Amino acid sequence: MKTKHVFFSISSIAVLIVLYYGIVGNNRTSFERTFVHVNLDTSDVFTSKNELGFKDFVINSMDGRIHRLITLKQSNDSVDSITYHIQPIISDSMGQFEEGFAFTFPKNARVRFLKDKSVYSYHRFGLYIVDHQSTLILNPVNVSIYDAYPLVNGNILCLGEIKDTNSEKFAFGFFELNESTNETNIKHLIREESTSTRSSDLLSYAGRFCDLGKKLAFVYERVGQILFFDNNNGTKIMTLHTIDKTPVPETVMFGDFNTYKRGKAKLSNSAVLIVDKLIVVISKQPIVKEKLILDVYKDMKYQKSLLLKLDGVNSNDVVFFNQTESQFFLGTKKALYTIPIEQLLIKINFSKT
Amino acid sequence: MKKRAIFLAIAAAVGATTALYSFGGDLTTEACSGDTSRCITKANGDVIWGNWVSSVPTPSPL
Repeated sequence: MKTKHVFFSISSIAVLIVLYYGIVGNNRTSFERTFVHVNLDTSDVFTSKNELGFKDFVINSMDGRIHRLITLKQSNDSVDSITYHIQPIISDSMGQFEEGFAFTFPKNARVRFLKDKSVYSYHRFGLYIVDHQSTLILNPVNVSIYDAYPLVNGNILCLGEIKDTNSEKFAFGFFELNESTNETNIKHLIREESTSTRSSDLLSYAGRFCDLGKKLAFVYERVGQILFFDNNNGTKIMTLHTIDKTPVPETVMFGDFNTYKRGKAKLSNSAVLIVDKLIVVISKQPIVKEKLILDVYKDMKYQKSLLLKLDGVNSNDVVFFNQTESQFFLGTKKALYTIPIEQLLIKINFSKT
Repeated sequence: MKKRAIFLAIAAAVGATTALYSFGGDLTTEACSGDTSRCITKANGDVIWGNWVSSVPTPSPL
């Protein structure tokens, strides 16, 4: 009987320790912000409302124009594909739309960008390239692609894994891919392993490329870092460690499935833009109802945060982000917002805490 | 025997709770819904899209 009591006590202590570290661990990345409240009303931004059912937005790397994706037809499970209508958006005050074209993709693929009249998507570690005549799956041997974005030099900057056939090691990081020759050139090595970790890394290092004109940024969704690359050749320029300090999430495997380990994965950031000499990060921590949190950095150091009210959008609503010299574009499923950078600068400089 | 059964039931419940909490599969405080983020991946690269929302307490400005 005594043994049972001891055993029960040990079990209870084990549970308490697990719960304690779960709760305390979750607060390890807590931080204080200095907030500035900002409103951007409709006179500050141009809004293209969702009247036809946006699915997503993509950019044409050849001319910088933004296109919207509209779901035309979702097939049944046996066919496993979705047909989209892709339509360029004219960002003028008239809000006119040009004619578009239709494409069919695998159901779980995500469209990433256009190159002229070809649509690039990623699916099962490969690049899926579709034009009006053919479908090409670019899946070079020993290369796994998790995300991709076109560089000005014509190559593609990829996040993924490359197996070195000599050392039999798996290099994980950012690399340049020549889609004609399949040649790869590592630009930023994150890790090298003796076994492939691609299924788990696909989750842990999820994020999005943000086109900032001369620079290209990769914003992790669940790691407190933003990497900046030269948009011309993919050379890594710098890493911004954001104030959330979110650690790389841990994943867990159930049979063939990988998912985030409970309490070991937190949201970090959504997108980034560069305004003057400032880096402005759209944070995902915490998600605030009907408001965006924008953290402002100068010389790579945190300065202050804007609590931005923009048509009820919060950071979890952001599905698309792009910046030009004079404006930035923020896409949600409800609308595409075109925000003059000058307006944001005024708000940052003159709003009072 | 009855006491033993009760004890084993409690021990099993404690063990199951610990395992669930430690190794994922949480059903109450986190959710995987929507279609904006990767939520589950398979070895072949298939992705189930969702939006992993955490209820972790963080400083709120409101």
